[in-house]
Amino acid sequence: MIGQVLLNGILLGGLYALVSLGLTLIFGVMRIINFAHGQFLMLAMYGTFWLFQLYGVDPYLSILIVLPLMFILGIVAYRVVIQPIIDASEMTHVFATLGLNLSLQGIALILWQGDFRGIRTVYSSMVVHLGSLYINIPRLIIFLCALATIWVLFLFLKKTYTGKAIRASAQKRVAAQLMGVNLSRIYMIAFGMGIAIVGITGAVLMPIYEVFPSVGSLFALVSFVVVVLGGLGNLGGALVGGIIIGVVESVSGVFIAPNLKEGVYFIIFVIILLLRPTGIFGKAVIR
Amino acid sequence: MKRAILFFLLLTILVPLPAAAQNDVKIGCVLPYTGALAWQGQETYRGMQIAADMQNKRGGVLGKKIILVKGDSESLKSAVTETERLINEGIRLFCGEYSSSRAKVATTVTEKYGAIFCVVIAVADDITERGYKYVFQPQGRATLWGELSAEFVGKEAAPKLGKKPSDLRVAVAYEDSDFGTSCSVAFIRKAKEFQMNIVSQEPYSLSALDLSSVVLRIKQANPDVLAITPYVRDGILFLQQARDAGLSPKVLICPGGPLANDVFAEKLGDDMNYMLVTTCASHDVRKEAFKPEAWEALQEFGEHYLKEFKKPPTNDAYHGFQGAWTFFHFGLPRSKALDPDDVEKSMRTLVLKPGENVTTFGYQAAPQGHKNAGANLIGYPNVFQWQKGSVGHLVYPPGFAKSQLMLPMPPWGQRSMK
Repeated sequence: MIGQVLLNGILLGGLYALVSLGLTLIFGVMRIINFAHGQFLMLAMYGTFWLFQLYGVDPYLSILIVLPLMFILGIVAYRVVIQPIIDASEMTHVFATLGLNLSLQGIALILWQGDFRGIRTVYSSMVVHLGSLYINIPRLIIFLCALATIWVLFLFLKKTYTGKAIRASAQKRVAAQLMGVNLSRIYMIAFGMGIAIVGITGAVLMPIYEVFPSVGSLFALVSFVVVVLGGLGNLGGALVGGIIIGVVESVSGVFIAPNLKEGVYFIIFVIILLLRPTGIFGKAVIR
Repeated sequence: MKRAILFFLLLTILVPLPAAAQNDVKIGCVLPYTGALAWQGQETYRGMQIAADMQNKRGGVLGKKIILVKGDSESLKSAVTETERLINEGIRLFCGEYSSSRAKVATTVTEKYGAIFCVVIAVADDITERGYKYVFQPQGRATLWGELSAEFVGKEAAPKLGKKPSDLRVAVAYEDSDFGTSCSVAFIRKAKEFQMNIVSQEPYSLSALDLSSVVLRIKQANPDVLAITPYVRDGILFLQQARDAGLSPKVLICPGGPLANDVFAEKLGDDMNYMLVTTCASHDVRKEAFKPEAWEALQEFGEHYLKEFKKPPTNDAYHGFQGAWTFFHFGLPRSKALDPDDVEKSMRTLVLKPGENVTTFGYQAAPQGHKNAGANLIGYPNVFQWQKGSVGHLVYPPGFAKSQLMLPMPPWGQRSMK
């Protein structure tokens, strides 16, 4: 059974990492904790649901539509909400993104009411067996999607001019500006990318989870834990943090008690932060 | 200028309210309209709104039109603040609440102000275990739901498996709020009276995003019977992960109502067939078991819901309707006036035999001084079975049931019924 428990934990960790990637990218570049992260995920899930419901678009194919739409939505949100307060205090960032969070949830409730909406595809219940182990295919796809997204993001940040400009802005804002980087444009792109990644996440979650206006809050808490644990702003850290939380949750759920698993991972979270306050891969921030 | 302001103030104090407002009775509907239980809150409200509309069509209560005023109990905290807000607006009659935990805190507020709260869905026993005078729970309570479910397993399901109750291996899983815990504790207590073997007991958090650990623990215990009390989202997640793991007991029963919602069929299709749900919703009931007036109201509700929402009523809508109908159609009209003390007397002395109301179980409130004062003493629910993709198959109690119980439940993927 231990093999299955670890496998479940690793797959769950991939899911947590994917949910957290957009959050960590935005923080890494802009030093803004986006409290509306979960609600953008909810919107991406609704987008995927409606594409399936109205036009029969498969959730995985819908990434091609949802991703650019979420990128545009991210840019709009940046221009309207984030840009005006980018140089304000951290408390202002908290209130602005929290306000955005509540607004998006309220809008979803007005538009789609509280109904649970889910998708049933032929592969939703597909399972592959490897000896005594079983793997749910949509969960495996989420895990692979997390790896692929991190890899593509790494390549983008390392190899492209915009990627290098984003990294430069993340490392030292003023120096990047002196080198001719248009900070406002880079922030806008980074925010859009962070929300676009949420678009991918929403699409791949739909075969197994239902969407409703407050679904984002369920994922938001764990994504904050994962991002802080891995190191704020570190993409690899999000993957490692996600897998640690996933495995701890799975193991403690089976061998201690299912209703204590969140308690166990929060204890481990606190211990790691006591030993490494910046998270596993995090570095102290110098602006 | 000062004179003008003074004149305006005097005008607002002295001029009577419009006649329409005097002819209304406002009823506070405290429910989770947002947050994790928003869907359930919305469905409950739909049922309550239809009950109000139907009663208004019949002349309202004591000549007044029922107006429902929403209070959003998205969390425990907002259950308190929203109830207080409605109290400050002068409302003294309340109806609603889906979540047992939120019902407990909201009723603490109403009791303090001497306001009536008719709890339409929440069934945890401790809502009525505090000796409160103004709280009523017409849909029964968790003990009755849990006990009836275990009794059903012992008396009806065990013989279908060719086993004695004492030979059954029973696993119990539940979300660990007041609702899941109360139903499951009562189920376990009664199951032990039948000498069933409780081989696994698994509480879990309602907000869990993964329930594979619960599934693995239960699978390890190899039960014949699984009694699970979830809400909707976690219930779907659990069943999906049980299907992945091949956890397939011969009997699966939900001692609380959520598994009766159609959302389950949308996600799991034919795999829902054979599952059993204990709920007080009055669907698939025998017409002859009801008095004509109650039957007519039940039909009117179904038609009204279908017309407005383009689908048959959900389980939660039935609950909302039934609880509110007991209050609006029976409790309030027989009260001398609409102040809380008169309404309390009316609800306390109201007695409805099975079939006289829109429920199968009638109504009789526990008197003050009783351990569960205000709870419906005869609120024993029904057991439904998913058959042919629909949960509308009443299999217990025998007097009301139209459908045949079909057990054992086949493994996943083999539950299609043509």
